[in-house]
Amino acid sequence: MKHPGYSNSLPLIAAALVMLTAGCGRDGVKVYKVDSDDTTVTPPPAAAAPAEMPAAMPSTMPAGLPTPDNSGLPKLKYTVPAGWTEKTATQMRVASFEINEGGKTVDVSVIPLGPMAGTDAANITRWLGQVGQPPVDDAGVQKMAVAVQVGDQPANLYDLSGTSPGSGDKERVIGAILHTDIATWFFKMMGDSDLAEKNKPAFIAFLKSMEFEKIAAPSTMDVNQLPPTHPAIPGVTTGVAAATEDDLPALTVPAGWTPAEPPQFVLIKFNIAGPGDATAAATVSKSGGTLLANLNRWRGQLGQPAITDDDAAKLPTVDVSGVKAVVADFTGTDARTGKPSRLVGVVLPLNGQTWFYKLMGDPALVAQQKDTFTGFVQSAKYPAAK
Amino acid sequence: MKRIVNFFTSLKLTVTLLAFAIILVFIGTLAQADEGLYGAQAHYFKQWLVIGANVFGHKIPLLLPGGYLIGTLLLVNLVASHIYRFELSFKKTGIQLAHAGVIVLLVGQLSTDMFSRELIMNFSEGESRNYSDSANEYELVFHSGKTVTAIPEKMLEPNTELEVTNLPFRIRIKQHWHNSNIEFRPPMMANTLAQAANGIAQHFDFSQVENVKTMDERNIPTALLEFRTPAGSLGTWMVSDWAGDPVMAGAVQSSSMKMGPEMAQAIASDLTAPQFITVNGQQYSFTLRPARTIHPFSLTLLKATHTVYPGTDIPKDFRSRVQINNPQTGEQKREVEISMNHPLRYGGYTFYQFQMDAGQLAEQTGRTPSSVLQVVRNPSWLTPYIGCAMVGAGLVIQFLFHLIGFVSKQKKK
Repeated sequence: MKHPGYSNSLPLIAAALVMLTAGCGRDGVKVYKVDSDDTTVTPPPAAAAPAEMPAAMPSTMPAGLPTPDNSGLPKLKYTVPAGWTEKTATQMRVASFEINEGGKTVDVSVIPLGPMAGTDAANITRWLGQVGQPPVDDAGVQKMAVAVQVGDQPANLYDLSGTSPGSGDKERVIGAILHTDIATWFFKMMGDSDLAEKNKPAFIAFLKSMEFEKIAAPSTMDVNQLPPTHPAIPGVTTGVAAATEDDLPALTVPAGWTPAEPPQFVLIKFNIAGPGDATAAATVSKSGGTLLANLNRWRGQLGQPAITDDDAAKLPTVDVSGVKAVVADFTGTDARTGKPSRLVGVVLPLNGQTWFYKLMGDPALVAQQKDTFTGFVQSAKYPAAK
Repeated sequence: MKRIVNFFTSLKLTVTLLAFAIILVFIGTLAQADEGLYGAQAHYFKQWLVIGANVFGHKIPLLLPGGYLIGTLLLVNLVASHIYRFELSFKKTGIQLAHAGVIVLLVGQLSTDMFSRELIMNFSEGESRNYSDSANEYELVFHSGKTVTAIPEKMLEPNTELEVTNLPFRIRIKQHWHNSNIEFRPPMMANTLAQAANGIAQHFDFSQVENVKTMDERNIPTALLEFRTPAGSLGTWMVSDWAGDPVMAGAVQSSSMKMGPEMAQAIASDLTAPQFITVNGQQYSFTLRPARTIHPFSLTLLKATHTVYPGTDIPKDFRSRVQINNPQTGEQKREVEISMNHPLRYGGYTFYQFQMDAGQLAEQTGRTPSSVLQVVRNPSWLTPYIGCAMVGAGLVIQFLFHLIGFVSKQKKK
């Protein structure tokens, strides 16, 4: 039998098969060349975040939230090295300098940040990105750190070099990070590699000349605007009248505890040194807010998730001045230093106020000091309620 | 062999398949309410077998041949019958032509499904575009110098590692959401860890949301990636269409306006700040964006006109005046007007007027007038016309044969 239609239909079948096979290959990886202008994402007509921003910081604070309030931070006194031009401080920068030589520039900045400063690894990674280098982890940061003095306090110096991802020029970041109880301070010199190298000794001398001048400038911000999990903000009162000398309890100080200058809104502070470079600190402060909010604030300092009221109700208590005080014992990573840390805290509600006793630092040292700390808390003798 | 031939050439098969087609179209149409147009298309029509259906909010267990299976079997049935049943005779020309026309229609639909593309071209007055964006497909692009490497979103399988020949690093997909939400991450509230160690995740949190169902919404994918070289990890990064598509970044900016224009701009510039890694001294910037089709020509939007009926907000006319520049053909500065029902057909694409932000509203808010064109590429757009013409001509010829036969018989009487 002859199939006359066959020759007519063959091209159609062939075409259908070609389509089927062609259709299968269209979802692969494509590589093509473009005029570079055509593919960049066009940012809105605003300047990108300035390069010196610490990792967790947008270029401006959202309205309705407090802008960084540096009024609660100590003022700085320092010696400006020769050849450095002082620039106007900005909202972020408490001090700013420029070094100009032979058409090359280096920028120096001092930025204090509260608990939102991020870990050292995050900040060093960000600096590394600015000189086109890959990120580092905590261990890498520790290897890169060189001890340096900022005023009379020990800090870490990082010397990072590479090329600017933007211009392709040789770029250098020499920066120091100082952790204090109320803020993390970023001292940073960035710019032309050779000029930065030349100014490195001057930068170290500048760090050494730093003096932190304590000021008392309580802010009027209402912390009740903040979520309960909010970490403490330096320079912000907690809605409770500041403690006066005669509010303070009488305490028996354990042996080996060194009295230290308490940071703002901390009433009493002791440093405790352990074996090696292990350190811990015991503090006494007074605050408002619910028990849970304060417990979760502590947990936030250790990078731990929040707990619920039920969890809080299960915490053990201890007898202080005839009142049951809740004892918290949390372990985690110190959000400021990135190091493992343990926090033992006692929350004591008394005469309409809440007292916070906190021991925080190296886990082994805190374990060893826990009983001493409990004894210290129980030694408290409060003046009679007015 | 004979049984197979009998099966594929039987008229029963045709009728059964047509019956299934009716059921499928009915269920598929109802299901659009639950699954959305694109979802229903993928579930019922661009499918070989349909397992289960969603009708009126209920899941119905059923097994149906999908659109691909019905279409393919119909095509085979028709072609096989064509080959085996019909004979070449002058008298049957009409029938053959009509059937060939149906085959052209079926093959044309198949090729439309395979090759047609629906794209969007979005530009403001004065801007030129030599590309169009897909309306519902996305790609992860790496941009290094003038080389662009585009990886389709479909390849971003969570917990897999991609190795692409011209990229000197591997891409580990830690997370992939086809649709996502974005939330600004104010530093004062950033108690939880950022989702990725670098880039936009420092300022924004992303979360998975359900895929969209209606046609006027779209999915906005986000993925968490880690780049790795033999020397170690280059860190984790979030890529998102929220950042990669200027339209979405613009939406984030305008939704932040309640925080003040400066803040909104700062948030938007945090979102669109380029993300890049440097490997072997070469910089690779990357983003997730709508899949892009590059044209060998460019269109420049000269003027977007949006007129309304006097005294109302009812649109009377959308009109875009564009200029075509094609370096390949040497065509320069050719001006064309595109309006409703007057598309531009050029270079294998059809440009329809789609949306517009122009006229009084744009003027009042100080926005540059902009226009969105729907760009359709359908290489087989002529097949329905040809197929219908063939079927029509075949039927006319068949009718004429009968008419002539009838008339001559009558004459003989």
